[in-house]
Parts: sequence; C-alpha cells; structure tokens
Amino acid sequence: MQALAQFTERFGSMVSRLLLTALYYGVLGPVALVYQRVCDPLHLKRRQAGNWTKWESTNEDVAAARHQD
Amino acid sequence: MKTLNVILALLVTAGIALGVTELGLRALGFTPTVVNTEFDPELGWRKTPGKTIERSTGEYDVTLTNDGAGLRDDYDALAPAPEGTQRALFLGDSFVVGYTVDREDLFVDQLERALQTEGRPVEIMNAGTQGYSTDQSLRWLELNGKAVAPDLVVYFAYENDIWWNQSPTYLGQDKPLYDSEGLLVERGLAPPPARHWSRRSALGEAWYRLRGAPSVPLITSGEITLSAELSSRLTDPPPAVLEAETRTRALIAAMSARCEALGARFAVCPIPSKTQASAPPAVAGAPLDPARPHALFIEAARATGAMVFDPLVAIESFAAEAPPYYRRDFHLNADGNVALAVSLHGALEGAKLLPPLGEGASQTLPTGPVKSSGQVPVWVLWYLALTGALGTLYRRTYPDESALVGFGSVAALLAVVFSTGLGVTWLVEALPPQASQLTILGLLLTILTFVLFKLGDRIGTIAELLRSFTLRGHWYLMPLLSVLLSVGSLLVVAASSPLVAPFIYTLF
Amino acid sequence: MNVLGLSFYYHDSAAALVKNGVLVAASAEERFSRKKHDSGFPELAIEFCLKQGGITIHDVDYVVFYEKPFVKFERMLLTAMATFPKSAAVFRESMQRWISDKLWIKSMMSKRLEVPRSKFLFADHHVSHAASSFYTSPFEEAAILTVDGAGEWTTSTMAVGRGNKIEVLKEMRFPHSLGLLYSAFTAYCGFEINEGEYKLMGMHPYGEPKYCDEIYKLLDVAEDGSLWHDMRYFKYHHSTNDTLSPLFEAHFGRPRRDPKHQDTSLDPYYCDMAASIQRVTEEILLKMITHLHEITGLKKLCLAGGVALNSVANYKLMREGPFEDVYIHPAPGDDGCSAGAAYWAYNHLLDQPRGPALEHAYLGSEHGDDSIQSFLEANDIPYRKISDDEEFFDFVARTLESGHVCGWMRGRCEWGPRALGSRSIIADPRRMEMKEKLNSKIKFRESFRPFAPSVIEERADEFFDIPEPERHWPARFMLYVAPVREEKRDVLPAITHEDGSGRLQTVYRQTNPAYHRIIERFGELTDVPVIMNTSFNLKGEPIVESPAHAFNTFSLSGMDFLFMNNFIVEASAKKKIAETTFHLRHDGDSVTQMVS
Repeated sequence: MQALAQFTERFGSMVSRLLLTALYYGVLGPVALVYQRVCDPLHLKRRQAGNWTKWESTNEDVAAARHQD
Repeated sequence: MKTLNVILALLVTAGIALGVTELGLRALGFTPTVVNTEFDPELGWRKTPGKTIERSTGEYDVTLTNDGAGLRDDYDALAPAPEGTQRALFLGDSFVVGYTVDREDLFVDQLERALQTEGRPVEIMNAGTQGYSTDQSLRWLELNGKAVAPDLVVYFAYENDIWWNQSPTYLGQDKPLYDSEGLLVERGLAPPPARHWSRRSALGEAWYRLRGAPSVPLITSGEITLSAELSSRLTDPPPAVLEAETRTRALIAAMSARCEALGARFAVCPIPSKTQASAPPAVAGAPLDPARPHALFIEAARATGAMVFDPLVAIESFAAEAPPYYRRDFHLNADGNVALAVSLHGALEGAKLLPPLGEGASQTLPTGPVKSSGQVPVWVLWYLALTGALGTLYRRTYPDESALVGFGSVAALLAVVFSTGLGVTWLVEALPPQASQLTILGLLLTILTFVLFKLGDRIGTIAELLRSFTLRGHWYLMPLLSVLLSVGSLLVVAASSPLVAPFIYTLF
Repeated sequence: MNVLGLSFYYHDSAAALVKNGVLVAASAEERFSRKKHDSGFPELAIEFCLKQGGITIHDVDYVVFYEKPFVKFERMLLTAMATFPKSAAVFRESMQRWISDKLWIKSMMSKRLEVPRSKFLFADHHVSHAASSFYTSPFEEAAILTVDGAGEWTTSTMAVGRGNKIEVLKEMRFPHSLGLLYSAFTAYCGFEINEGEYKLMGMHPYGEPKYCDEIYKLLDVAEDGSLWHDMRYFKYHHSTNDTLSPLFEAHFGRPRRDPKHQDTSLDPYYCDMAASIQRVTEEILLKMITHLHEITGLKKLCLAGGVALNSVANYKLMREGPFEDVYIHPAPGDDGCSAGAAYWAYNHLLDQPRGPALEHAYLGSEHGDDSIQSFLEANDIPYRKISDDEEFFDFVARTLESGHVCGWMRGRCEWGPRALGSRSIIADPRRMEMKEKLNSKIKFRESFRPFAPSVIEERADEFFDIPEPERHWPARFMLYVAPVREEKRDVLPAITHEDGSGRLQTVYRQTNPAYHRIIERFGELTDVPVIMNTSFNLKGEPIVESPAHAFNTFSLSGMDFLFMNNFIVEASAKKKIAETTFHLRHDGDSVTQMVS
C-alpha cells in the first residue's frame, strides 16, 4: 500500500508538472505576450530616480488582516 | 478603477463559465445544430451546393459534403446519366442522405460501389435531404425528374414522414403541401427567419430551445400521448393522423404517376423503425403497433402498382449479430446501412432491374455486419499510446527506478483506470438510452459533489483568491487562475484519497 | 491575550507565543524535527510554545501567519508573465508547490490546529520583520529598516515605530533586492544559496575589495540606497537553479567557483570577490540608513531581515551610520517573523500596550536534571554530577583552561541562529590550535570560517572595540563583528579572524548567570574572561535541543567533555545512540525555493 501511495504521488507529480507546462504555454503564454508589452511589474526597465516606492498599507484592521492578500 | 476591475473580472469569469458549460453540454451530446441547407421557394429547404459540415455527438462523428448539384454525391450539375449507364434515383430523408454516417458507410454509396465493382453500368443518385417528408421528395422529383432522367426511382419512406405530409410547416419552417388528392396546394413559401449567431454554440441552441423553439406536437388518443411523428403507430388514430395517412397514400400515388410519366420504374422502400425491428409483433387490440406505418407504406405502394423493397427481414437478421441502429439516435448505424444495401441489392436483382454482372466479377457486398470486426478498439490504441508516452516520461523523470518497474507501474495504473472507465461506459450503455445522459450527468454531479466535499473549507480560499485577484486588478489572470485552481483542487482531492488519486492523475 | 505567530513554507519554519505582550516562547521547527532549515508546518514548535506558555491551542486568541500568501502568489504569476517564455520551469516547479500546498495554508492550519478560521490573521512579510525588531527593542520610537531576499513583493522597507504602532513609509520590490544580490554572489563564489551566505561573509577578510566598481556596473544604486538591478545579469527571477546569467560571468571574466571546492581552496579571486560584495553591501546599507535617518530624523534604528545577519555590516552601520543606537532581533531572518507577526497583531492591530524589551534570546525548550539523568541512565552512559554550582563552574573553567573542547547544554535553547551559551561548544580562545581542532574534528567545516568569542559584558570593551558595550544590544545576540583590540589579538588567536575581528557575544550575569559565571571563572584563572563559543551541532545539523541530541553530537565529534546542567560526561562514554538521527547535511535551496 505504501509502495502504491509512493508511486501515485510520483506519477501525480510528474503528470501535474506536464499539465502545468502545457498551461504555461497554452494559457499563460498568450496573455503574457500582450502583458509584457503593456506592463513592467518587475521594473526591468531602468528607473531614473531611485527605486523606492510608496508603501500602500491595506492591513490596518482585523478584518483586513483576516484576508490572505 | 476598482469597479472597472470587478466588471472586467466578472466578464472574464462569465466567459470561462460559459466556455466550461459549452464544453460540458457538448460532452453530454448536446451539440449545436449545424446547417448545410438553405431556403428553397419550392421545397422549403435544399442542400447548399458545395457546403461541408461536421456533425459530432457521443455516438457518431460524420462529415457531410454537398456536391455542386446540392446532393450528397459527386455531381457537378443535375443532368441525365451517361449513355449506357442506368440511373437509380434515391429519394427520402435523413436515412438516405446519411445524416449519421460517413459516405463510405452509407447504404447508397455501398450499393453503388458494389454494383460498379460487379461491373454493372449503374449509378445511384442520392437526392435524400434531411427532414424531407414524402411531399418534398415528390416535389423534388417534379422539379428535377426530367433533368436527371432516372431509370428507377426508389422512395425511402419512414414513419415520421406521415405526420408531416399533412403539415404546411416543419418545425416552424414552410414546406410544400399536397392535398388528399395528391395535388400541390399552391402557395408561396416564406423563408425562415435568419438563424441567430448564438445557435452555433450548444449553449445558444439550448437557450433557443428553452425559449420555446418550434417542436413536434403531441398527439393524444385515449390514454396515450405520444409524439406526432410516431402517431401512425396508433391502432386507433385520431382524425388528424388519419388525414395525414390519406395524404401519404395520395403522395405515393402521385409519385408513382410522376415516375411513369418520366418512364422510370418506381419502388417504395419502407425503412422500419428501431422499435419495429426490435419489438415483438403487437398483439391484436393493442393501442400501439410499431409495424403499422411500415405496413401503410407497403399497402400504399402496392395500391399504385409500385414495387416494394422491404428491408425488414435483412435488418432483423443483422440485428441478431450486431445492433443495426444507434443506441440513442433513431437512425441506422453503419451495420444497419450494410443490411439495407444488402437488402436492396437482393431486391433489385430479384426484380431483374440490374444489368448483368460484368465478366469475371462476383458479388461484393458483405453478408453480415462488418463494421466492428477485425478492428482494434480505439481505447486499446489510447492505452498503448498513453502507456508508452507516460512510461517513457516517468522513466526519464525518475531514473532511479528500474525501467521495468517504472513502465510496469504506469501500465498497471492505466489498466486499472481504463478498466474502470470501460466498465462505467458499459454500464451507461446498458441503461436505456434516455437514462444514459441522465446517468452521465448524475455521475458528473456525484464526482463534483465528492470534490467539493473533499475541498471543504478550501472553497472559501478559492473564493477569497478570486476576490483578491479581482480587486487587485488581475481580471486577465482569471482563465489561468481557473485552471490552476481546478488542477489544485483535484490535487488536493488526490492527496486526500489515495484510491481516487490514480484516476485524477490520469484525468490530467 | 495569547497570540501565536507562525512562519513556514519558506526557509526556517518557526512558532512564537506572545502572551500579554511578552514573548514567552519561540523556536524554530528544526530544533525538534532535526531537519536543518525545516520549512514544513511547525507542529512541534507550536506544541512546545503552548506547553511553555502553559496554555492549550483553545486559549490562543489569534494565530498570525507571517506573510500574505496571495500577494506572493500574485508575484509568482506576474513574474512568470513578465519573463515568458523563459520561466517555464520555474512556473512549473513553483506552481506545483503552490497549488498543492501553499494556496491552502489557511485550511491546513485550521485543520491541523483545530482553530476556527476567524482566528487566523495574516501580516505582511516585511511588517513582520519590522515588528520583530521594533517591539522587542528597548526603543520607544525608532526608524526601522528591513532588508532580505524577498517577501511577497517587498525586498526592503523603511518604517517608523512609535509606541505600539509601526508605519511603513516605503518599499523596494522584487527582483531588486540586496539580499538576492548577496545570494547571487554567494552562488558565484561557489556556495549554496540560502545557506552559504555566512561562508561568503567569513571568506571576505581573506580578500581585497577590488571589484566594487565592477559590481556597481550590474546595478544602479541611488543616493537613497535604493537598488535597480540590471536583470540581464541575473536569472533568479526566471530560473529554477541558476541565479546568474551567462552575461554575469562574462562581465567578470571568470566562471563561477566550482561548488565542490568550498571546503578546500581559497582562490584569491573569489576571496577578493567576497570582500567586494561585502563592501558593496555595507555601502548600500549605509546609504539606506543615512536616507532613513534623513527622512525620519530619529536617533534609534531597528534592523531586521536576513541581511541583518551580516554581522560585519551591522557593526559598520553602528560605528559609521548616523544613528545613536541600533537594535537587531536575535532572529532577524524569516524564523523571527513568527515573533514579529504575533507582536504586530498584539500591539499594532489590537492596539495593546508594549511589553518589555527582549533582553535575552533564551526562549526555547529546556531540560531539567530529571530529564538529563533519566536519559543518561536509560542509555547506560557513565556520568558524574557536581551538585554545587560554584564547584561545577570551577571544574568547567579548569577543563577549558587545560585545553579541552566541551559541549555545553544548560537552560532554555536560544531563539535565532546563534548559540549563545545554552547549546554551545566551548573552548579556550587563547589556544590557536583550538580553531583547527574545532573545524576539523568537531564541526567538520570550512577551515577559513572563524569562531566566535563570548565575553562577559563588564569587560567586553577591554578586549573588543566596543565602547559602552551595554548599549549595544545586538552584541548580546552575537550580531556584531567587532575588531579585537590590537593588543589582545595575540591573547585571543583562536577567535581573532584574518582581519583582526571577532563576532563577539556579550554575556550578562542577569540573563545567563551560569554561562556568565564560567566565563568569569575562566577569566579569574587566566585573566581572559573570554571563551570560544560555537553552536552545538555538526556541520549541517540543527543545533541540539535535547540530552539525546547533545550526547549523539558529542559522540560523533571530537569533543572531550559534555556538560548538561551539572552532569559531566567524559569522552570515554561516547557511543552511538540508535534512536537519535538527524539529517547531517543541507545543500542549500534551489533558486525557485529562494524566491517563492
């Protein structure tokens, strides 16, 4: 039973990786190609004056802190 | 900005939901109707020349291509047969056009191929059109008979033609109408309203039907209520059905007369319904007799002196070896088409309507069902391909395991999954056709319930994540998130249920 | 009010319990699980914290997770989008872990702790860092700088703490990160990332900072200390196993050092590179705190984040920076975020008054005499016990004086990565051969890595360049590398590093009287109130926690004596204890693990 569980875990890991690769190219890819032209979330383009950004505080009460974002 | 993000996220999410529903409906066999016909002011509708459509359900997957003459054949235009070649003209509805089989399996083409292989100078023109009743076949003959100059006309009758023969419309679409004397009721046919674009999808089609699309009326006789298309099975038919039967007899008589005028022989081939072919003969006094419409056509043909090519015996004898009809669809399958072709071949020969065999040639039609014998089932190919691909990948991913153990484990896991899948398929097929769709739906709902149960309060996390990404302006990530969350949910279920895990991983 | 802070699923999972504003218990999971850098759910650490706090999980008012998982998930997805199609492998590997584990943290915690979901709170990663430092500091108000590899999006913040509130002013965002820059050079110099940063720091005195200008060409550093990395030189944002792009190696004209040489060679080029990145790190940090001082006008500074483990830089900031006082939490890395998250919820979110400053780091588990004695007897281990403390301390001091290396286990385990005299290997710092002996026969680690001195606070200034040592709280937690006074370098050869520095720990009579007393006694015997202190573990092993761990590590190494409370075990008693196992080596993290 343990061998079966180990095998299915390995098999599942392999198959889900396969699926994630397909997802990367099939679903994320097309959106990403457009996204890269519009956005620069990593600030890959050189910044002129410093790279500090203002902190946006959204976690100031218990209700907000219950959220995972 | 937040409102815009929410709206965009909702739109994208709604799009995904519609897409998933569309796929689900199609998987369950609710495919959108694809059309290869156009309005015809005389016939109501005709097949559009040169048009090709694909029809796919859980039971069949066929391609229908119209030739230049608007037939499912190989003509460029309607013209007489070449000198020295006899022409048989086949008229009828979806059975003749082969709405559920590819041409290579269609009895018209099988018979023609067989005759030509036998060296007989014969060609068969397929003028069948889906949805045509007897009146439309007659009208086609009236309009085109002279141009195609047939030597033999065979009208393939089916029980549902009878009801429509008294109706000026077919599912909301105008069609020609003949009176009980067999005379055309002169009236202009109106083109149908333009087909809404949404009906190209299964969802749009379902919505169209839900909103009250024209449907076949119901007929009540005594305690029995049934579809009007089956109303001639009633042994005590109401007046409307009697009127339809009277008109049917008149139409066959008119068709016979038209053939005579064209100098062609005329035969009627009544195709038995699935119920008739499989049910025992009705006992005297029963309110329903599935053989009654079939008998009506034979009687009407004989009354006008037409020949009768009755395929009932051939189809019944094939049925002993393999089902000649689809399980859910009422049409003949490939085996049923072979049975029909064999029956027609015998009838033509019996009536001495065929030119002699060519030199050295022998008869080529099979004598029994051929479709399934000798072919490797598709699932075996899938099994082998998946085992090969996943086994190789497994070996490469985990080189520490021996090749034998790796491949063996993958093969064994897939064997378990395939066996279960085939078992469920068999179980579903063993159920009555009406119940099978419900069973599949029930199975899907059970699986969904199981997944939701296993997810438990993770559903709250999914909702929170979607809300978060919406408010953070990532509406464009909704498709990716949907798939990731679906896969993630299945992984969670797999991790918590080792017995279910192999099925989930194979589903991937 | 009881608030339990948790950090896990990244590098060092940990739990901490804040009870009515006081940090009563805190521990990394690795101490119990014996898995170095254990990142799993800290079940054993939680169990310990609750037991230590004398409560059950049902008495906990809030459980606070140290970061916002969805924001980090967002960063993973957007990074994959921004680096498409290079990020296929990193997407595959990170998503695999996210969709199967990390996304479901709340459900998993709720199920395993049997706590309703409403009790779970989520702090921002860098706010947890800031809170860990500020709320345990002795400062009423202070500027706060947090610098690490990467949190959710944030890699560094500037904040202000006043009373029981923290206000974050600005942040720097992934992939521009001083921590990741240092990790990139860790990899370039042939060490494992998220593991070998100490080694790089230990290597730097062997080189000259010749390549600072070349390093600065890889990035823009503004006067406010903010960084912009030219990501053409780096790959950690889209690679599973590589931090450096080929352009990086081409830029320096030398390939990365082969990792297999890490224990043997000290190639001058890589020593120079270690010295250069150390210098650059210090200069950037100095710019950051100078700017922070300018915008806040405050006199005190709290440092936090993994970069605050760079004790060489910490000392420079203290000496050369504009702040009067500096405080660093004993666990400035992600393990400390568990304490920070709990403090943040208690003080900032729930508006509760601040508790006392953290005077010591002895917040872990403890084993009493009964536990030690029953272990020794159950395993048939010969021992003796000197019940009188003073007599026992005298014995220990004389044992050290005579050149023996001893395992020392007494009191509650330390919180954070440093051994501070509760789970330490101790030796005589006056003997040069001790360094070699400890490295080769006991710790089995790189020969160039230095050992730390523990000095009694009263006489620290006499041996180290650390005037008014009582003001310098980070020295309590061994977070400063200070120069050994010129005239004392010959006296303390075993703890004096190549550049004349030592990573000192100032020991206080009030917070660890036993440890203080043996150093003091050693000083009375030798006139050197300093002993050599290294963590009680083998290379790659978590620091010992229980008598069994201590005895096992003692048996596997070349130590001469083991002291557990007042029990004495001699080397002749060494034997293998079958049931105590540990993972001996840790190979660092993959790049995917480092950034996700």
